[in-house]
Amino acid sequence: MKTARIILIYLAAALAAAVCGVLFGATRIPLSEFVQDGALNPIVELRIVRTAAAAVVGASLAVSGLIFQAVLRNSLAEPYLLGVSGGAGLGAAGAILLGFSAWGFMSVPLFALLGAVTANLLVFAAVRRRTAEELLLGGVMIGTLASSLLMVLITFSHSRDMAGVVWWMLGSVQNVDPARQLAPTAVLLCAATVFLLFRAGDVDLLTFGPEYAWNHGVNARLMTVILLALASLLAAVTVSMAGIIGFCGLVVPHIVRRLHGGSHRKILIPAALAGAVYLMLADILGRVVSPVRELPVGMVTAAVGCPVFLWLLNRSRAGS
Amino acid sequence: MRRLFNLVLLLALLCLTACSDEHKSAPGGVVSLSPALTELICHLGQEKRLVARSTACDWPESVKKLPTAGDFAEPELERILAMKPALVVSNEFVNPKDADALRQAGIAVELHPCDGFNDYREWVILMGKLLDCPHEAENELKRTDGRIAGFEAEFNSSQKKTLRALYVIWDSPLLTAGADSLPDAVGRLAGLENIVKSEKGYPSISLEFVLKEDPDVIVWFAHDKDWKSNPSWSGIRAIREGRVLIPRDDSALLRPGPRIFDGIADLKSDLETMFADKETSGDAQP
Amino acid sequence: MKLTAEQLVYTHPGAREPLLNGVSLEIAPGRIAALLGRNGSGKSTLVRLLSGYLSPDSGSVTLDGRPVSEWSPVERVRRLAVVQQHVAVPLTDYTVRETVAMGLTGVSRLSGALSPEQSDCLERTLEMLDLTELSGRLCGTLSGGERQRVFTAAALVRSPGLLLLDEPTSAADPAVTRKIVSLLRRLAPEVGILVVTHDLQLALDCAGYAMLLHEGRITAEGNPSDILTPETLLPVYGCPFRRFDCGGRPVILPE
Repeated sequence: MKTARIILIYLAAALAAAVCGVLFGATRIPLSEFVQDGALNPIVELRIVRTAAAAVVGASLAVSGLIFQAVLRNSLAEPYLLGVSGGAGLGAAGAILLGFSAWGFMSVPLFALLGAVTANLLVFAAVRRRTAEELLLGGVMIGTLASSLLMVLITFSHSRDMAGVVWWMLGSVQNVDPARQLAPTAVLLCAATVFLLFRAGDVDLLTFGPEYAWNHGVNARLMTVILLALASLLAAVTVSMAGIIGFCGLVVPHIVRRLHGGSHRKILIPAALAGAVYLMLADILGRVVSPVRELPVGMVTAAVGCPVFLWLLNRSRAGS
Repeated sequence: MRRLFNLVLLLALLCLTACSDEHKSAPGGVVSLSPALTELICHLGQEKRLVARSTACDWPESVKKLPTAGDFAEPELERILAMKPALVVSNEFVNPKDADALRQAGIAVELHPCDGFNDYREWVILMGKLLDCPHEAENELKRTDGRIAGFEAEFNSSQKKTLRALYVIWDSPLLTAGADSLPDAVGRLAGLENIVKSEKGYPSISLEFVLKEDPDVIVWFAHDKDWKSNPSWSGIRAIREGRVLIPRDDSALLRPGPRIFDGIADLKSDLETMFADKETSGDAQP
Repeated sequence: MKLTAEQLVYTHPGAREPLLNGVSLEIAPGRIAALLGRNGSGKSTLVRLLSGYLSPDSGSVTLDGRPVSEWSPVERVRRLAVVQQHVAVPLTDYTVRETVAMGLTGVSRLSGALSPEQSDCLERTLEMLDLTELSGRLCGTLSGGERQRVFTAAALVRSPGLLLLDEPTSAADPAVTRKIVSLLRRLAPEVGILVVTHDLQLALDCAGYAMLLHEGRITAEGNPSDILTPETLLPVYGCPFRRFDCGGRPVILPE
C-alpha cells in the first residue's frame, strides 16, 4: 500500500477517535447544548483538552517507543527505559512530599520533568561506551535506583501525600494545562517527527546494528545517543504531563511495524497516529465505563494492551 | 508435699489471672498511634496514662512532650517493647503482624476503625473500660449525642436548603471524599450534601462529573495546594465565583476525636458567613 | 583513491596483549588484495579499523591522504564500502530491494524517493548480484548466502572506489563463490578491493596480492602463489599443507 494512503487511513481513524472523545464522556450532553450563551460548554471544553492531551501523549509515546525499539534492536524496549519513569516519579514525589506543590499547579510537572531529564542525563553520563546494550543496562540500573529512592520517600510520607503520589504515577490525561503543557509538548512532538522523518534512513540502518550503520554513512554512536535522548525527552515530557502510561509505547509500534513493514520513513507517522488513536480510545473507554470514578488511563492501556501484545506474540510464533 | 505443690500451683494461677485481670481493667502505660485516640484519651482526663504517641499526634499541645513510638498506625516495635506499655491503641491500618508481635510480648493491642460517629461512640465506651474511667466516658457519650442532635435540630429549624458540596482531599489528580467517609458525615451535620454518592472511600473522580453536578461549595482539605493555578478547575462555577471554603483547622474536622464538633461548628459558621455575603452581594443562589 | 594503514596497533578493551601490533597495508584500484589469517587473528578487527568504526591505539588509517575518521560519514562511504561478515538481524524485516536501496547515500531525506539515476543504479546492482528475482522477498526468508549477496549489493550500489569484504564467500556455495570471484575480477580495474578471508583457495583464485596476518603482524606478503606455500603456512596455521598444480592453477590443501 502507498504510504500516503496508509497515512490517510490512520488520519481518518484519529479524527474519528477525536470526535468520539468530544461526543462521549461521563455525562450525556445533547448536541444543542455544546454551545451555551455563545460560549463553549465548559464540559465540552474539558473534553476537547482531554482528548487533545490523550492524542499528543499517545503519539509521543508511540514515536518514542518506535525509536527505542529500532535503536536498541529490542522488541521489548519502551520509552521509559533510560531512567525516565523512575526519575519523573522521584521528581514528582519529591515536589509533593517536600511541599513544593504549594508553589502552584505547574510545580509538580516541572519537578517530574526535571527528575526524568536528570535521570536520563545520568544514564548517558554514567555509561562510558554508549552502545545500545550498555545504555539499556545503565538505564535499568538508574531507573531501579530512582524507584527505590521513591519508595523510601513514600515510606516516610503521610498517607494523604502518598495517595497523591501514587495517583500521579498511575497516569491521567485529566489535569492537563492546554497552554503551559499541551502546546509545548505538541510543538516538541511535531519537531521530533520532522527531524525523524529526515533521519528515518539512519534509523533503518541502525536496526542492522551500529557497525552496519557506520558502514553506510551514519555516525552510529552519535546518532544512537541523539535518537535515544530525543525519544527519552518525548517520554519525559509526557510523563510530566500525564504520569506513567504503560503499553502505549510498547504495543503500538509493534502493531504498526507488523502491519506495514520496517521502513521508518513509512511507519513513523502511522505509528504516531495509531498511538494517538490508542490513547484516545483508552481514555474514552475509561470515561464511559466509570463515569464518576476516574480510572487511571495507564491502567486501561495496560488492560487493553496486555492481551493484544500476547496475541501478537503468539501470532508471530505461529507464523515462523 | 504433693498437696503443697498443688497449692502453690493454684496460687500461681490465681495470681496470673489476677494480674491479667488487672491489666485489662487498670493498665499501666498506654501508647496511642492515632491522633484522634490521643485526643480522646486526653479528653477523658487520662493524659497521665499516655507514655508515647505517634508522630502525627499533635493535640493537645502538651502531648508533644511525649516520646514518639512510630508514625500514624505504624508502630516502631523495638521502641514500644522497650517502653513495656500495657496497651497499644490505634486504628485497623496497623500491620497485623506487628500487632501479633506486641501481643506476644504481653502487650494488649486494640485496633478498631474510626471513620464516623458510630465508631467514635464505640471507642469512647471501650476507652472507658480500658482506662477505667466509665463515668467520663458516659459523659462524653452524652455530649456526643447532644451535639449531634443539636446540629440536626438547628438545621431543621433554620429551614435552609442543603448546600451541595465537593470535598477536595487532593487537587491533581482530584481525590475526593465519597459516601460513608468522615468528611461526608461531618459535612452532613454542617448542612452539606456530598455530590459524590455512588463512590465510597476516597476516590479519584472525573472533572466532567464535577462540572455536571455543579456543586454550590467546595470544601478544600488539600491544605497547602492552590486551586487558582490549575486551569482544569476554572470551568467549575464554585471556583470561578469564589465559593471555596478552607476549614479553619482541618485536623479537627478530619480527626474523629472529641474536637470534631467544634470543627463542625466552625465549618457551619464559616459557611453561613460565606453565603450571607453572597446573598447580600446577590451573585449566588445557594 | 587510496586507503593506507600505517603501523596500526589495537588492543581490545580489557585485553593485555595488543591484538594487532604494527600492521601496515595499502588498498588501491587495480588490485585485489587478500588478507589471510587464522580465526581470531584480528582480521575483522582490522576491517573495523580500516573503516574507521574502531580507532587504533596508535598508527593511522588515511583515505585519500586524510585520516579516515575526519571524513564526513556520507563522503567516506561513497569512497569506501565495507561488507561485514555478520550483520545483526533487524527487528522487522525489509525487502531485498529496500535493503539494497538503503546503501544509496543522498537518497531524498524526506520522501525516500530515488532519482532516476539512483533507481537505474539499484536495478543494475541487483542484476549484477543475481538478486532481481529475489528483490521483493523479505531478507528474513533468505538463506545465509543470499543475505550475504544482499549486503554486498548494498555496499556496491553506490559505486565505491574501495571495497572491503570480510569473508564474502563464507556462506556461499561453489557456484556462487565462482560468481563472486568473477564479479570481483570484473570490478578490480576501477575498484580497490581487500578480501579478508581464511579461505586460502579464494585468495589464490582471485587476489593479485596476499598478506598473512599472524600474531598481530603481517608476516608475509606478495604474490599469492609465491607466499602461500606450505613453508609460510605451517607456522601460521600450525598444520602441514600440500600444494598441487591443477593445470596451471595452484591448489593448496591441508594434509
